[in-house]
Amino acid sequence: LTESASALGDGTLLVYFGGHSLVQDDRLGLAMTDAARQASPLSMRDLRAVLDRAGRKVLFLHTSSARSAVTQFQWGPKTAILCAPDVPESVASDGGSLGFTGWLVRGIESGEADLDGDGRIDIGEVSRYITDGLWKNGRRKQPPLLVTDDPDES
Amino acid sequence: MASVDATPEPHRWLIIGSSGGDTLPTLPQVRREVTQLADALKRAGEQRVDLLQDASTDDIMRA
Repeated sequence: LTESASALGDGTLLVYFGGHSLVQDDRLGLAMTDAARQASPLSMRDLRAVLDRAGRKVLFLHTSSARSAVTQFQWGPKTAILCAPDVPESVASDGGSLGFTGWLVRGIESGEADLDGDGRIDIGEVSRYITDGLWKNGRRKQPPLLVTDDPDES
Repeated sequence: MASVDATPEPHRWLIIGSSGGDTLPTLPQVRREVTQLADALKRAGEQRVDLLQDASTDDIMRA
């Protein structure tokens, strides 16, 4: 991944993670299958070290309890992170309605996430599309969190 | 169908599905959703989409 990210040059690396996360000492780690054998899971610091090798980075996190740690972490430039709402078992759908990833898939497949109709979907459009979708499900308490250094997308 | 290209520069998708820990197998819902996401991106014309299920840290670094 490090080499692949470097090979992208000024290109964009887009990483999606769906699964459990672990918060240790206020630092978020992504729980991989070997997390139990390792002293710590894949940390945000490790992930940033890889992401920073790409020119632009987009990180989608569908995992619980990520928002606080993501907000507090110092990300590099040209990075956008879209976090699912912090709700228990947020990865799982509730009663068959679409969740964070479900709306992401639908927005890409249908093209509905191209809100301005320019033929391209940017991270701000994805965020707004998922938010609207979750509201349709009745999840009005907490929208997805978009962290970006682009003031037009905040 | 809209392109998902964020920029005109080269880009790559890495889709990771993992519930973590030796005692926690990947949730069926996670497995299904990450597969759907990877498939949707490929159908949208994305050329570089890598899907890692039950990923370990080493898997990710080698991807």
